Amino acid sequence: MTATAIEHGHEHGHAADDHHHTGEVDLPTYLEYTRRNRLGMWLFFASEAFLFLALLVTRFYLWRGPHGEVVRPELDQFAGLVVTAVLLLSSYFMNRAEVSIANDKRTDFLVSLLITAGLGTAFLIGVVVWEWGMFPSIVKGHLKPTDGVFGAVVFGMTGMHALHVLSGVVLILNVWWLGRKGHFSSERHWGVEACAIYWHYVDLVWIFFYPAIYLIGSTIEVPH
Amino acid sequence: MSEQSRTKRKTAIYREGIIVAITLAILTLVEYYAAITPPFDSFAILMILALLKGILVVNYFMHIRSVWSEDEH
Amino acid sequence: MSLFTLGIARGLVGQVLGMVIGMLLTCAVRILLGWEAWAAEPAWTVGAVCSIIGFLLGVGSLDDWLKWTKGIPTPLHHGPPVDKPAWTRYFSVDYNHKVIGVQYTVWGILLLMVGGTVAMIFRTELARSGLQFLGLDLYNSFIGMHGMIMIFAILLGVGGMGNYLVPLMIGAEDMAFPRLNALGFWFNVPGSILLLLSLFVGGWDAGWTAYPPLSARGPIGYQLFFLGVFAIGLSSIVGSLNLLVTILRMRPAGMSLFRMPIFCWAVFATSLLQLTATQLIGTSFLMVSVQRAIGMGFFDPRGILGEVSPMVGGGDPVLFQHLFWFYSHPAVYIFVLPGLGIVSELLPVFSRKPLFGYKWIALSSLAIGIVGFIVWGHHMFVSGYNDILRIPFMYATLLVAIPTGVKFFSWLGTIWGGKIHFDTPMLFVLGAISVFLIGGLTGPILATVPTDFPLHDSYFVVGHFHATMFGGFVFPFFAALYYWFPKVTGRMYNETLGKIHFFIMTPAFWVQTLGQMGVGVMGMRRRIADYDPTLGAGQIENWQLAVTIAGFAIAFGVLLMLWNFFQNAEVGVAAGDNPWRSRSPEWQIPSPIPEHSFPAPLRVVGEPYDYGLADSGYVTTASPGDD
Ligand code: HEM
Ligand SMILES: [Cu+2]
Repeated sequence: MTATAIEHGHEHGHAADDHHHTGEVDLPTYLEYTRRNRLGMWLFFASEAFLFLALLVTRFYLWRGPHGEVVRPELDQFAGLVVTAVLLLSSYFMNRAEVSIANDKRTDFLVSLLITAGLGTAFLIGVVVWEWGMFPSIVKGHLKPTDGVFGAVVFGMTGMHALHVLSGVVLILNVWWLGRKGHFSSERHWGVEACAIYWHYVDLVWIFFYPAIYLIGSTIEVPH
Repeated sequence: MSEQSRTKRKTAIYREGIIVAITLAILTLVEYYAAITPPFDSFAILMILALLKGILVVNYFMHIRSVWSEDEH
Repeated sequence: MSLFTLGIARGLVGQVLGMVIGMLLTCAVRILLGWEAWAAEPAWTVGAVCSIIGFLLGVGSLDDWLKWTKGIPTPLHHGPPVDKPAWTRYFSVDYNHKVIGVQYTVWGILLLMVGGTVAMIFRTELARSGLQFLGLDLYNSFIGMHGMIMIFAILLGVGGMGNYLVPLMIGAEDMAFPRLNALGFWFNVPGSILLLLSLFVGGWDAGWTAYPPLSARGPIGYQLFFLGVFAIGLSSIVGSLNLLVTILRMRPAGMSLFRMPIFCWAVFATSLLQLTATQLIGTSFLMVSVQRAIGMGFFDPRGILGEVSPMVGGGDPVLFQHLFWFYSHPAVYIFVLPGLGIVSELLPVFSRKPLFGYKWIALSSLAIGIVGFIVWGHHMFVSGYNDILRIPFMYATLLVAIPTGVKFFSWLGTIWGGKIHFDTPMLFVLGAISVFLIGGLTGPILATVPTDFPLHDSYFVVGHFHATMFGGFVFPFFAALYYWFPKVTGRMYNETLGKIHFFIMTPAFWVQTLGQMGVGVMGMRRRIADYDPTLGAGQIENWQLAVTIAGFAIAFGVLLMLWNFFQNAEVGVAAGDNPWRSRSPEWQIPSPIPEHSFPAPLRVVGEPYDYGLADSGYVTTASPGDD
């Protein structure tokens, strides 16, 4: 929500020459707007980092064995590795999309965006269907949200992250749609950049969540 | 900039993306195997690997330097 | 003109509709799942979420972004609305930071009055021992409500001062993100409405800190309370982000960070805290919320291994306290840093002397902010966390005294030997210093482990934080209201009434805060509706009565101030452009300030606080061609 709320719409704002005189005020240049937007976006990341850090702290605080050692519940390791790889690959295509628009390669730009959105959706399905077991008829999950702190933290962390992935996919599709209508150019594409760095940020969060949930600590049996 | 050097630069940027992605993939695999191979499954090693991956993403994909650099970008 | 030309009226309709739609949605999903259609808690929770969105859509603060998603250009409109009376802009979405600053301030004052009324009610109950007219649960809902409403009011006051003043002080055309700025304000309205509404669905009776397990088991009111806090938190986050970008990127050439008016430094430090720490109160409340809603047991200590090892897999309520105080301690600096900035801003003006140690004051704000992040554990000395933790938290807390001391000495250095003018704003600044001193000196008593043991959760703590919050926010905020009133309205308030307000409120406040500490030492507990009349050698009732009377006197003083402003906003004596002979940029332009504040970009020609130095200016507002 707030991510998209950063003012990224100046592409279509005052699309005139750089020093644009309205008679009353000097409007800053597109470059200056972009710099403000970019700083705003990074401050937003800094803010969100505290949310994700709080979840990480919660995980390491609560997942303790009988002797206080760090533990983790048994999860589907293969699912974890696959969704991680999928998200990583999506980041590559997002980067490709940004480089393409900066070099005026429209088709490449649009196709890369679609691939990114597709991989993002695949990640979501992987988490919700495969790991969560939302549809037990397809895959039976390992944990329920009510399984003590193990369920609570797994669903809390992956859920909060999935919410960000979902908003990222929506943002990408929106940018793709605007891109098709010719809204971005190699010179003016802050909207694409905002979407790209948001997507990479979501990937970045997963880079820390993945080992925290799947890899660190000895496994512990969670009875149901 | 001549047409030729511009093309060269473009290919370089595309290549950079691929190299970073491959490095990230390798680091992820290292992470995965470290986790199932004691004594490499420690908190510190896994977090350092994650940190490395994070630095790559923040630097090459998110261009954090553009926040303070005053170049025309 | 129909009522619905006012954005706020449309917003309220949107909020009601959102609530109804959210509830219907919940019922529909439950029917689809084959459950009983109506369940109060999920229905109210989903309804409340939708009601916030409904309000924002209704008021129109999302319009421009919705257009952007479709690629429709949205040039920024300047000036009052074209087809409606000019005053309506204060009740609708407007992108001018001066309008938004006034909106924040007025909404903040309204909440201050609501919160004050609630306090007067339970203070009356406390004037005598025994229960007169409040039940136990209602009493507890009221003290929590008083606390949280006042926190909202303070955050709004902070937002109001920052939004109105910072762009003017650095000569910026507006804030960096005007639309985000408006959104930041409008979050507060549905948020405060939800908070008030929570009283009607059972309230929430464990105080503003909402510790589980009580909050995980209490009435439905908790869910609305949490959502209200989320809305205000989002406002804090987007507002502080906006202020940071404005300060970092929109200063004119020549205004280095160390040449800004000092208030901007205070806002900068506050915004850093707000931007980051706010996430923690959100996360901790969200965890309680989902524990209530779907049984995710973050704070539920029942383990998964049963008999064998009951603790494994069990949640921990102490974790909540860590997360909560990681926000809520920095939050107290969010409340007071801007106020201390006001003190530093006004002292040189009324002493006609340079600010003593500008750099030190600027850096002390940052230092307080940073140290503020590592002291949260002083609220948890008796929580049962690892004993070892008490020691670092105690020393870290005592460390805060250093930057705070720096501020005090620089204030003294500024007043020393100055030609002091005792106008109302200056009186309130001096009052602020006296009150903040009381609060500041009681802090270390609470921060020292052995003395905190008997005082924790007693009225002594209540006295402590009222003194710090009044000294750090309320008094400076009132000083700011009096000081900038002529700038905002172009009219002067009535000086005599202002002085009467001061001389009623300041002694009354001393009585209130020292009285609270006194009954605390006698053994009066926080958050308990009644007390034993034999405490304090039978004197406690007299003390309680004194505190109650002092509270009413403060309320009277505040009403006097509001009446003073109300009377003079339209018809008072014209104040002139710079009645206080300030050097700050906002006083070099006409009052009230025109739509585009500055006729030309500011040029910095000197230091901000060289009062008393002949022929030295700080900024000029003329374009280079004019001279
Ligand atoms: C800067 C202004 C300050 C403000 C606005 C402030 C505010 C508060 C508030 C609101 C509480 C009560 C929290 C609750 O509801 O439980 C509190 C408690 C406390 N304050 Fe302050 N405070 C300030 C300065 C200080 C200083 C300078 C110190 C120590 C050097 C300090 C030490 C404490 C301690 C130790 C407690 C916990 C007492 C207890 O619950 O046992 N405070 N403060
Ligand atoms: Cu504290």
